Amino acid sequence: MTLLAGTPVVFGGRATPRTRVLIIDDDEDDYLIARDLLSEIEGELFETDWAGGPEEAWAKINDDSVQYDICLLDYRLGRHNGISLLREAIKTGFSAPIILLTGQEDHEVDREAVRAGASDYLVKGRINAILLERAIRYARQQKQAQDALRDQTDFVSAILDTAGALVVVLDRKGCIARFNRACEQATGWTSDEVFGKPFWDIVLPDDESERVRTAFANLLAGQFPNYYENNWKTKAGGLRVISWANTALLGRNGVVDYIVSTGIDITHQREAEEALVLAREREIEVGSSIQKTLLVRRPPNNLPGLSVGAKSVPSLKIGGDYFDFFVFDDRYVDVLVGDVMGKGVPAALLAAATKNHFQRAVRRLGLSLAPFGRLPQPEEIVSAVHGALTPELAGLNSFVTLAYLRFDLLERMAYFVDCGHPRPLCVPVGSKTCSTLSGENVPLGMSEREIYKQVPVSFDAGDLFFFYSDGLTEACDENEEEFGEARLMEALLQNKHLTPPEIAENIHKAVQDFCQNSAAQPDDLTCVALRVQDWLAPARRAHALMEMSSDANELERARDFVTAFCRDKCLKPGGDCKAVDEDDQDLIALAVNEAAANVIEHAYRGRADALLQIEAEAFDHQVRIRLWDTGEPFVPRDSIPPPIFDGSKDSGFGVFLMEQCFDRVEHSRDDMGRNCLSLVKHFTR
Amino acid sequence: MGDVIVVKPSLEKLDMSTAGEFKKLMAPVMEENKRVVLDMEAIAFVDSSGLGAILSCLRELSSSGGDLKLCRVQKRVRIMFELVRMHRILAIWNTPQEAVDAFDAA
Repeated sequence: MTLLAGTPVVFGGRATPRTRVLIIDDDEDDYLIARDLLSEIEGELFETDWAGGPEEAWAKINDDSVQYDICLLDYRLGRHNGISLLREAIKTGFSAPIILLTGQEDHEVDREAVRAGASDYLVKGRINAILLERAIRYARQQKQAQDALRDQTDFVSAILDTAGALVVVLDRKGCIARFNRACEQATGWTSDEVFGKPFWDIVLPDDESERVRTAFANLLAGQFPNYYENNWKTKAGGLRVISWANTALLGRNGVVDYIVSTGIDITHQREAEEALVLAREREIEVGSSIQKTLLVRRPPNNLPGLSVGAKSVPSLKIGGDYFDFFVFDDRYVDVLVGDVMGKGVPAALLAAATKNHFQRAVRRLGLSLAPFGRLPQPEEIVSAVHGALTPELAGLNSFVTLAYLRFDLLERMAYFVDCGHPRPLCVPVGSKTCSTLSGENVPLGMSEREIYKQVPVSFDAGDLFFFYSDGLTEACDENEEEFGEARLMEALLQNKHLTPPEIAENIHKAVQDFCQNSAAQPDDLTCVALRVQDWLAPARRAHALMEMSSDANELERARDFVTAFCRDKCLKPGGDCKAVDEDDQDLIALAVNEAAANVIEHAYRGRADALLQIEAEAFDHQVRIRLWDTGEPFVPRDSIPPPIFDGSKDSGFGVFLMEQCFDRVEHSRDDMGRNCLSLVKHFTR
Repeated sequence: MGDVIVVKPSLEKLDMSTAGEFKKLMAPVMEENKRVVLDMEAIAFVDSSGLGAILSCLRELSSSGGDLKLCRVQKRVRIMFELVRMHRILAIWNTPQEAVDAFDAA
């Protein structure tokens, strides 16, 4: 692309350049007059071609072998209007400047001619050689200037168009003067479509209008550069998020002539950020009901059947004490309190790793012990972690003490595995004495061959349990006397009537008071207090379980199983009266069918070799059907489109049917990594 | 468009396991005939997959200017249709003849 307007090429160095003129006039006499006038012009040689009518004119215009420098065009071309020929010629790219000739002076024609693209306008009777020469000269200068401008414009446009950023230039009124290719691509509007229009009408969504107009006004007032983000509307009705840097082009007098905005389309980035936030929220929802991230965050207050309080103060702001809780089937609660030898960050890291091992062991054992996981026993869990962790611990010359206590709330039986941890204390309800739970094992990491065994411990509602780390009993006063187990038991008895959080707080304070004058740095101090609540398991009248593979052919068996259970096992309290009538039996079976079909399709993505378990339970006033699977977690409701009832779509009916046929539909995921869909229907009176 | 044809699938259930078979059964029929009556006498159970299969047939026939009418729908299936409001989309008749006549009456 050249930046300078073409200069005439001279061959041979000596030939005088000839200016080629095309004269379009239907009157031959007028043509001859013009030709004569041209020959009178000094210092330039003209070569003229004559076209007597539009057809001849077009033939010459379209003839590529001839390049005209000037064109003289008669306004009245026989029947035809010279101006329309003028327009057409310019449209086809005829580049020679065109001077329109007419028989009489007429300002309207003049204006029209110039608007149509003529360089100038001359009245036939009034032309002389001087006027003609001047008109031709001006026309050529004008053309040169226009070419230069166009080249420069093309150059600038080329830069703007290849720029990846959006570039918009607005005039003082906010009308679009430039709209580069990136803008076209981002919005779907072509620059022709938007040129000259106020940009807030075209690309701004209505709710952004106010804010952007204010920013625009600021720019006009001289506050630049400014930066902001806003949405742009695309032609198709979508939205893009653009981050703008704006500045102004000042005119000669210092007033803002144009606003230049450069923008980057950050829609994808914004979407990615939002997706990330959503994904994080989902992760939390999908995860099991108890937080596992921090080592010693406040214990959960939604543990069934237990009230818990804890206090943990590491000696170096972070340490190796930790505790964790697992809940299974709303019936079993596992409490684990551990201590990694050492202090500070290294101990904390090891504690985190240990905690992680436990969680994984629970999940893995749960899944592998049976197709669905019979619940792994505490001793099995501890053994698994021991196997994985001991080599690592040995390498670090460290070990982990642990107390693991599982409460079976239904049977009122606890199972205890002790790994060298300070013996947990117990104050039975109504008692004035404190006993200890004793186990027999050594800390994890000490001996590879250690076999971990659990010890059964019965309990009742109201019993108080207290776990602690050795930092508590080993805390010394100024005489280097230890707080000791005896004092601890006494402190517990003194506070036993309080709530677990209060107990933990008070005991911690007692220890602190004891060693306040000591010079020594206390170790990590952790204690967990828990009291068993009255927990009424709803009386279950009947129970049945079936397993099926994730094969659609098995759906009928699931339907029959559920129908039979509802028909035969769901009875009204006190009598033999069926609690579920035939129509409801069918609906329950239909909804369970939909639930199972969803598991096959979504949780198992259509694999036919995975397992589903369907558990049916009849209570006094309701029936509960639960489906268990080990596939992909369920995605929360608000991302499933609701069904459309006009026959045009067939998705969303499954979930709709489940909600219509059951009173409660709940999804959860347990600590073993099993998805559970719980469907509850109350019996009608 | 062709004459009205009555199709009676011998499937006992129209669920996820048989929806595909049903569609395969209907495809050649719908190629020749755009006015179809589905005799549901044998079908004791329909779930959302089955419903989806029926609706896709309805949409295909409608888009060619035809229609799908059902007859002899068992009570249990009818309850399901009403629950998902499909009884307003799918015309249901008591006998095949009534359904066929309904085409001519339209």
